[in-house]
Amino acid sequence: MKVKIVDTTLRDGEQRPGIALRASEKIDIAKMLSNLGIYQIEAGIPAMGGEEKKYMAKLMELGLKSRISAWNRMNIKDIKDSMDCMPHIIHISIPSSDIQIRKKLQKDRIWVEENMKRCIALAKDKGYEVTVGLEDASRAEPEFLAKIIGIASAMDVKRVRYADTVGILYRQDIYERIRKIKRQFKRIDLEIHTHNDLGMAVSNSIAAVKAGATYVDCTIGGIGERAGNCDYIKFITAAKAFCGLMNEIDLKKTLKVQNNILGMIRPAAS
Amino acid sequence: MRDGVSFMAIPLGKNNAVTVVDRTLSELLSKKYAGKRLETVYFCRILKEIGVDLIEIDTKFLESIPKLPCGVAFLLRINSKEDVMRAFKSNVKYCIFPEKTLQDAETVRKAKNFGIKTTVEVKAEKLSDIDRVKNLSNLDLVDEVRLAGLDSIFDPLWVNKVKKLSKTLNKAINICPQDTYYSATALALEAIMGGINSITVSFLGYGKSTGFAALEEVVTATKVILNTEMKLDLSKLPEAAQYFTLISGIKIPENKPVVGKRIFEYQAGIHADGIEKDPETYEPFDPSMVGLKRELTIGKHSGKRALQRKLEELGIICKLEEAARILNYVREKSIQCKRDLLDEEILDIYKSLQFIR
Repeated sequence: MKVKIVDTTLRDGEQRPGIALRASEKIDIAKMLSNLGIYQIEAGIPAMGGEEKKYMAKLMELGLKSRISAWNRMNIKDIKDSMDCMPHIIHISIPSSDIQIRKKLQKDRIWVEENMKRCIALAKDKGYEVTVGLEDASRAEPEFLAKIIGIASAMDVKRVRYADTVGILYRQDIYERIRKIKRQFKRIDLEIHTHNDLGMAVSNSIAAVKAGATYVDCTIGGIGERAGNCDYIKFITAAKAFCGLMNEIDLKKTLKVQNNILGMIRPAAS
Repeated sequence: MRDGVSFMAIPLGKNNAVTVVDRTLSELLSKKYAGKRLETVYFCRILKEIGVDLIEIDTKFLESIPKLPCGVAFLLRINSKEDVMRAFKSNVKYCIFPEKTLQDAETVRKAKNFGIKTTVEVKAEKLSDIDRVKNLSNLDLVDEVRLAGLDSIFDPLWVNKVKKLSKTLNKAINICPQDTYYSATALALEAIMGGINSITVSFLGYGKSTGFAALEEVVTATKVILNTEMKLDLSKLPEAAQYFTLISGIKIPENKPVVGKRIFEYQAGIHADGIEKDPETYEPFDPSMVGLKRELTIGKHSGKRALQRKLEELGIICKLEEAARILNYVREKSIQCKRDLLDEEILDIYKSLQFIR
């Protein structure tokens, strides 16, 4: 089994209040991440428009080794904005818990199903690799999650992201959940996206890998919304110890790159 | 409940409670708190309110703070017979020995004779190390065994193994996970969920080497995940954080789980939108539970609705289209400054645009 890293420093990481990167800095960081051998870089949200969209298009011109993905809300406009930038992968985030569907979007599950089909079809028809995110999966009803995954799978989506959006899972729990999905959908690759609200982002990611997830979302220095995401170096360290994985990665070299990136992200003043 | 002292502990249903030992102070260098006696005493009291039952200290602590604050129970680290005398003189009721001191039966007996409860600390890194404990000599002399480490254990069966050991030895067992592979909090939580009734943690997970399970994470996770009614006052956590910084000189990262000052700030369009409608959409628990507040910040990732609301807060009513126009300038300024904007800066932008129009 091999595990691939999806770095989301430039999306979930940058999204953290207090961080504001200019396009040239995002490009420099993407180059450094690619040199680290990161499989996929979630580079941003083209739908933000302006700078962000231009930067994404420019990033694609560089032809980096890493695969570049664009993050999208589940709507047509977002996906069109992304396609303008021609990323390798279009990621569509699907609100999966009733808290997200009813309270935030004031919609219902049927609306979610209809919309996700339209969105996936749009990107797929244009020949894009599409990954689907189960936003707030940890608070979603398992049956509805299975339904979403089923729809995505039927539309030939190969990879689904399980997001513990508010960071409330613990490792046995996440292990069971991922195992269950893996058993039901044998052909779907699973990606795990954790948050560190209770200090367990790394151990939760390890648990997901033990249960069969083959993609892990990380950020440099663990930066991200609230208490952050799964810290890349910490995950690598733990994956070596718990799973005997990632042994090819040189931690010293990685630490240097981390310091360079964090130096760019943190404002000089504070 | 241990005899003599009433422990608050983390209650988990009927007749079931977890004793929490905090070892932060014994990990800090004594020169740090020597000049800060009052702050250190306050720190101890706040820890107790948060749910700590026993505060672990070393003999250096007794030298700097000879009169231990009352109402708080202490656990003293002991290395020699002389240390036992010190414990007795300071009226300490609980002692912990390293594994090697256990070989010196006389020291352990002396503590017992003084009526001091004794614990031995044994390092157990892997699952197989737990079996080794039975073979330690003089084990019958101590009241409790602390298993420290558990660093790379994943198999959830470890909890049963520990409980079985407790039965075999007929002794209480405390577990003290080490954070070598960033799983100490997860291990402590597993212990609590599995019915182990005594754990050792430290504030922020602070420790000389790789650190431990973080007190604030463990108690918050217990409350959020197990959804237990706790008498503990987690809203005191920011105060504990303040005193920790005063004593140690260590600044707490702004995004540290549970106690980071800025963990409940929000900005990104999608998040701000959700939180405005219902904070539950993007928050794992209510900020007030841990003594924090949510705050809307304005910067590169703000959306027009959030800016409109912020302007309203600042006394300016404007249409959504107008907010969208101002937003471009706000984002530009935020990128330029590499940070979020202050209220005055937002007002300045608004005014300058008014002028142009």
